[in-house]
Parts: sequence; structure tokens; C-alpha cells
Amino acid sequence: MTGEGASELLRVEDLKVYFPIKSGLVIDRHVGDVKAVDGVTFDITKGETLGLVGESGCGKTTVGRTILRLYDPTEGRIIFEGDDIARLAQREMRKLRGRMQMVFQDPYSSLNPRQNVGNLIAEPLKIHGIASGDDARRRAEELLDIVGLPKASTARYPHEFSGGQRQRIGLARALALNPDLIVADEPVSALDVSIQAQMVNLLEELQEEFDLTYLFIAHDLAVVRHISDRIAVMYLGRIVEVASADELYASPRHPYTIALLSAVPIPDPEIESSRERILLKGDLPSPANPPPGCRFHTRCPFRQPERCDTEVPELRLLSDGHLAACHYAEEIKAGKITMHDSGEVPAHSA
Amino acid sequence: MALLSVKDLSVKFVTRKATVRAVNGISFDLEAGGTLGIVGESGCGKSVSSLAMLGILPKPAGRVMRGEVNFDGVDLLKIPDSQLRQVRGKDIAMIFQDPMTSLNPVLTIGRQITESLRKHLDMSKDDAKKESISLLGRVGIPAAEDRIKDFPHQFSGGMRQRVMIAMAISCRPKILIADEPTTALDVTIQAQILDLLKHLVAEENMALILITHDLGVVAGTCERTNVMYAGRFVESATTSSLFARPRHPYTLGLLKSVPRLDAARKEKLEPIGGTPLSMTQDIEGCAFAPRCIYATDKSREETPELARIDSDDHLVACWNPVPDEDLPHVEVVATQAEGRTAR
Amino acid sequence: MSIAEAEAKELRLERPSSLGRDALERFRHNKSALVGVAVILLLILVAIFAPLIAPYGPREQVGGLDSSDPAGPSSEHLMGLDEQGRDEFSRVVYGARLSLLVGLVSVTFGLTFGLILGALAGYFGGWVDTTIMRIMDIMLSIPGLLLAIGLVTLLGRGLIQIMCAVGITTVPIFARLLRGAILAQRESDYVLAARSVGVPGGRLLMIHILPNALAPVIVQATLAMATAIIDVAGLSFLGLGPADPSFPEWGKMLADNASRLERAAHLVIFPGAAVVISVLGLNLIGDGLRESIDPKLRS
Repeated sequence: MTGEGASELLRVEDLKVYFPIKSGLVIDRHVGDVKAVDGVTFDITKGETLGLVGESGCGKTTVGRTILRLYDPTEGRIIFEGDDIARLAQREMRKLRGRMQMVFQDPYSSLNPRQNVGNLIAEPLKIHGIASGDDARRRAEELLDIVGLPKASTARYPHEFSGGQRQRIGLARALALNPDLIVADEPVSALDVSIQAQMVNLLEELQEEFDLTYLFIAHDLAVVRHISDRIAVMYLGRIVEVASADELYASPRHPYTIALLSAVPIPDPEIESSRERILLKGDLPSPANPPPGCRFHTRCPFRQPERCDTEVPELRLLSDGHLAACHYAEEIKAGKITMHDSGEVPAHSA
Repeated sequence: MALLSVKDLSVKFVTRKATVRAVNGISFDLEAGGTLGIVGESGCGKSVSSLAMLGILPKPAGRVMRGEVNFDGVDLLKIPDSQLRQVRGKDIAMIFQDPMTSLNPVLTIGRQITESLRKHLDMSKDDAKKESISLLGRVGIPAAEDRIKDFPHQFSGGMRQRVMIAMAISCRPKILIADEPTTALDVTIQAQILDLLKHLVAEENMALILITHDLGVVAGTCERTNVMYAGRFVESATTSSLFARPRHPYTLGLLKSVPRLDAARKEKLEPIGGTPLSMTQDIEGCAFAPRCIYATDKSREETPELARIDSDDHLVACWNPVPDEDLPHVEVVATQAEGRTAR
Repeated sequence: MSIAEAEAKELRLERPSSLGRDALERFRHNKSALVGVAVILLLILVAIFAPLIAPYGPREQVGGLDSSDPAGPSSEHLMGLDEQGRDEFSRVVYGARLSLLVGLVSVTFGLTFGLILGALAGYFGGWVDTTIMRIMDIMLSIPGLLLAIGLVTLLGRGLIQIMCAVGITTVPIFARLLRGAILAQRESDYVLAARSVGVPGGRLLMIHILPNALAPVIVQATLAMATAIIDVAGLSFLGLGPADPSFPEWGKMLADNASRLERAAHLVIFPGAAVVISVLGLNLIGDGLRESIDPKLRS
């Protein structure tokens, strides 16, 4: 779904990130792996916002951090502006850091409490030899202005600011090196509702102004739909569906996406009391021990006796342009398969 | 007579650095089996008010300045702690956002539930054990007889919240106060938990006070909703009235700033300008005035009280309530019912 | 009003307050900590101005040699005379120098090596971590005083030897502490953020991780000084201290006069009290530091 002449900024191919589980008395032995990311493929076009959604344990944060090589991939390729950086030495990686940056979720732990804001923002400039001393400070002030904070903030310390303000400081730091790609890992989840909207607007303005590309990782579907061009849905380490933001909501193709959308509460009492909700049973399986075949089959309201528990579904292109990883996506859409009894719960009047 | 009647409750926190007026005179009534949502952002005082009602404010900083909390004819703020302990956990129960900190990590779940049962209902050990297994089953925990031997860390987040609910309802309380019960949970788990709460309310005729910042959550769960800002209720109405005709500019602002999954995508979100109030300063006039597009001089000078608007049960504390033409009209793109496959 | 303007008004025009300044503020309001500071300041002043405060030299013979019944406190000799006829007060005052020296030197010794080892273990992890920590574990499995005794036996008697021995016993404590703190900080978001910006390893450790990991170490350092004073006193008591019999070290003074407790209680009480007060002062400071650095610990 790339436009005419638009180039691909980032492509991730079959990315796997396994974290070893070690156990032992004196010496640790490798007894298993947490398969946080287990074969993820997607691409992002320059100037686009790709939303990455999923619930806890789905691996979306790991994907974001691995793209930036903060974690090392176990397998797979990460092609950034044409070069595979998956196995690049950290020393080489440092030179690329300027082109991809990250905004973190928790405004209370993502800023060094012992650095003042000016140093915090100017640090990337100093390290990469772009500016130093007064020049660096001036640039820091410029960046603060861009994110809507007073210039005098440079002398202050992170704990003197509110959560929303701290997120902006983090954003200013991310912009310092003029990156092409910004991975925003839950940038608004920890903020109050009224501040979230400010932050989202700010992100969109900055994207316009600086021609940024975003990988927007979040679990709040409504926010992701608002800001993203396309959305990828993850479950237990794999992508289960990719579609444009409007399409994903209007006609979700993967059972997990359907269930996820049905679970999101809508601020409208009339709709809430009349809608039919799909309640998934049970809990998320452990990423250390994922179910065989389709990872979602243990909770899927559309599960079929064949293929679902034995064959891993490929992420494939469907007729309406969605990518979905479900053996029976066409049958579900055509109405040939319906939900089991256990899947659905009738509406309640509030 | 209402089951719970709170009048003019005010709470302050006194520290060396500053005095914070966390709650500034809130009043509400709750009928048996009724569901009330209290909506507000962080720092508005919603959690503090429920802690004050049950007498569990952090001491010595937290103090109730004035007010009444009339439960079944008794003012909870005026009775000694020994009596209050009979009410707490038995007639009025509370569940919190983070179940991990409310559950004792070194005791099994079974032990914790039976302890509560034996203390409040004077049950024998065997009866208590049977009851706790039955309770865990009711809240949807599979294999309950085995799981009562497990420790809190062996449960997932959603399961732990269910355990908390089981403990809370074990003594058949008349009121359950749920303080952000699903904020830390994934959205599919949240749906399960809210559904469970609704079931319990219906089955037990238990009243529910649901404290949250999520408008979607109250929309689906509560009959009435109060919106809180800077320690006061700024609007109080049936949930359907509140969402259809949000008369307080803050309520309107909240609704407009949240992107809706079922509405057409807007160009830009409409945030509420300015920053949330710092609670240490004394507020003159309406606390929301600095951020309000309808503010007038009167707003800045006189504090508005809750007054009737639109109907007898819709109250708003505002000198310049939102006019009709500014009420939100949501262009619904598709409802979930249409998006799904028919049965 | 733009959001920036609204927020500029919010940030009141006070001096920016770093975490350090905040901690200092809290420390200043902590009464018991201030008592500790007063005590230690007194100790330092006494040590520095010993020649001015003490009326006599520490080895100076002023009274008769009466080892069976040393004179008790009088207006002339505030703490009486010791068994060699020396002014006890002067000896206690000069003893302050030694105790202070001992506390400082052994803790500096221990800190230096402990911090280096802890930083290496915490930062590099892997086999470096495992090796260093196993060695630290072995050292910790031997009770402190016994370890010190063993080391002194190895190194020989003498003040320097004792200080090194005591210093060595503190190394594993600091190493562990710092390693733990580094491990905790290493995974935090701001370190990740610094890495994502390209901060190289050395700078990451020195500017980002260490300043946030040192807090528990600082607290431990003050407490370690207290322990050092006790340990050295203990070693001297056991006869492993400086060979020079006239050395005015509090522990040695206690050792020499333990048998005279009935007849010359003042020769035990005063040096003993000096040790106790110094240790108490350091403990109060240590507790005060801990509370002010981590306000959650205050009740």
C-alpha cells in the first residue's frame, strides 16, 4: 500500500526475538526461551504512521526496541533505508542512531532524574559532535519551544515537571538528531485523558513539520486508529492482521481483531447497552510456551477442529486488501462459520 | 431513604510543604443495587473520597475536614474505628487498581478469603473453605478447589482482579467500591471484569460505585455518573443524559478530546486547553475557569454550586453551561453490531 | 493562552532543584540526623585541634607511676590519669585522630576496590559478574572480624595493616551493593533512552547509571565507618593493633585497662564512651541519609 514514488523507510522480515530462560544452582543453564517476537514481517513507508497494537505480552514493545537495536534479534532482517541493520555491531549502530529515535511510555522513568533538562536534550548533540556548549544549549531551547515548553526549562530537573510535560521533554530529545523514524512506544498511555489529546496533536504537527515517519505502538485502539495510516495487530509474538486504519475498524478479518474491537468500551451508553460483545475466555497463554498451530486457537470463538491447532497460519493477502493470519478468514467473512456458544455474551442494560 | 448518603464531604492532606484540598465538598446518594460512576482525571480527588468514606485515609496527612457519610442511617465519619471495622469489608467492600498490592503475597488465596469470612461472618473453617471455593467459581476462576492453594503471584493480572472481587463480595456487601479496577488490565480482560461486575450487581442487588477516568467504562456499566474536577462534582446525571447532553464544559471537553472508535476520524483531536489544576493553591471562583472557553468574570469570582438543568436528576455546577448548539453530535461510522458476522 | 505560556506560569520561578538539593533539604529537617552531624563535627574538630585542646601530650608522663590505682577524674585531669601516669583526657582527645583516620582510610580503601569490582560486575555481567561475585561471596562467608584477624596475621601488626585489613572486609559489601544498584538501574527506561540516543558505554556508566546507583552506597559508607572504628578497636583489644604500647588508640586503651574495671573504671568508661558516641553519630548520619535520599522510607 505504498503511494506513487513513496519509498520504503523500514522493512522488517521474519523478525524473531527470543529471551533465554536460565536456571541453575551455580551456573545458569539455558532451559527455554520466551518467544517474545516470533516471526514478524511488515514495512513502513516514508512519512507514514504505522500503528502497532496488541495486548500485554504480544511483543509490540520488543519489536520497537529491537528495531532500534536496543535488543538484539535472534533471527530475521531489519532493513532501514536499504541496509540490513539486524546484525550491525553496536559501534556501527551508533552512527545510525541519529536517524531513528524512540519516545518511551513512562514519563517518570524515561528521563535521568539527575540530569537537568538542558543537558538531557543536548546530550545527543554533544555525543555525535553536532554541537556543544552554548550552541547545544541554544538548540535545546529551540527544541523545547517546538514541543511547547518554556525555554527556561533547561535548568530544571525532570521531577519538577508533570507527566505530560515530561513526555514532551522526551519528545524534544528524540527530535534533537533530526531522525527520519520515530518509534513511539505507548507515548500517551500514562497520561491523563485531556493531556493525551494535546500530545497526539503535537505528534501529528511535528510529523507534518519535520517529515517524520512513525511506528506508533499502543494498546488504546481508538487513539491508534486516529493517528495511524495503517495498523498491524499483534498477538503473542506474531502479527495477525494488517489493514488501513479505517478498514481495520470497519471490517476486521482476524478473529482476534474482531474480539479486540468488540471489547473496547465506547463512550456512548446507548451503543454500549445495545452492542453485542465478544468475551474471550481465559487468559493470555505464556510466551514461553505458546500454543501449537495458530497461537490464538485456544481462545478463538471461531476455532475449527481442523488446521487451527496444528498448522501455523501465514499472514496472507485477502481479497479486500487486508493481510490476515487465519485459515478461515474467507469463510468467516462469508458467514459460513459462526461463533461458538462460548464466545458471545448478550448485551446488558446498564 | 438512600442506602448511602454522602453530604459535603471534604478532605485535606497536610504535609510540611503544603496543604492540599483533595476533596472540596461532595454530596451524592446511592440506592440499594444502584450503580454510580465517578469520572475524573488523576488528582481530582475521586480515589481520596472513597478512602475517606471508609476511614482509610493515609494518616496522619489525610484528614476529613467536614461532611457526613450516612450508611444505613449511621454516619461513618462519626463512629469509632472498632465499629467502622465491622462495616468495612462486610457491608461496604472496596477493590483497587493494583490487586498485587492489596493481596498478601505470602498467604494463599484460600487463606485470605477464609480469613475474611471467618472474621466477619463467624464461619467454621470447613464452611469457610467451601464458601471460598464457591466464590472463586462465581467470579470465573476455573479449577477453584486447586487454585485456593495458590499464591497471588501465580495468578495473572485479570485472575488476580477476580480474586480481589471474590474477596470483596465474600461477605455479601451492600456496596462495592471499585477504584479503577480495570485500568491496569488489557482491554479484553477489562471487558470480562466489567461483565462480571455487572452480573454480580444484578444477582446480589449490590450497589456499585465505579471510579475511573475512562468514559467508555462508565457508559457501559453505570446508571448514573458524576464528573469530578478539582475535588468537586461538576456534573451529575443519568449516564445517558450525561453523554447526550454534557452541560459542563469540562465534561464536554473530555468527550471531545477522546477519539471514538466508532466515529469518523477527525482531523485533529480537540484537547482541553491548559493544564490540570495544582491542588495546593486556594481556588477562587470556578476551578475550571482558566481552561474554559465559556468562562466569564463571574466564573472567576464565584464558585458555582450544583444546580438543576434540563431535568430533576441532571445537575451541573456552572454559570455558563454548554448551550444546545455546542452539544456533541457524533457521526457514527459503524457500530460493532454491523461490523461483525451475523449469527 | 498557549499551553507553553500556561505551563511557564506553572513552573514557579524558584531555583531549579536537583534531587541532591531536595535530599539535602530533607536531611536538614531530620533532627536525629542533625544530632549525628553535630557529634561527628565535634569529633572532627577535636581531632584537628587536638594539640590545642589536649593539655598534655598523649605519651607525656604527668603523674606518678601508680599502675595499681590510677587517679580518677579531678579538676586538674578531667578524665583522670591512666596506668602509666598519662593524662587520660589528652589520650582520648588524640585518640580521636586515630579513630577518624581509621574510619576514613579503611572505608576509602574498601570503597575504591568495592566500587570498581561492583561496577565491573554490574556493568559487564556474564562471567565477569559471576567470577567477581563468587569471590565476594567467599569473602562474605567469613565473619568480618575473623577475616580482619586473619588478614592482620598475614600482614603483620601495625596501624596501617589494621586499616587495610578492615578496609578489605568492607570490599564485598560495597561491591555487592553497587552491583545490585547498577543492575537495577541498567534496565530502567532512561538508560535505554540514553542508549537509543547513542550514548557510549563509558559515559552511560559514569553519567547515567552511577549517579543513580550510588545512593545506597553512600549510606553504607557512613555505616561502614562506624563499623570500621569498632573493628579497629576490637583488633587492638585483641592485641593485634599497633605494636607501640603507648599508642593512644581507644580500643587499645580499653584493652590495656579491661582488667582494671573495678579500680579504675574511668579508664574503661571514657574510651568506651568515645567509641560509642562516634559510632552512634555515624549511624545517625547514615540513617538520616537513607531517609532523605528515599523519602518513601519516612513514616
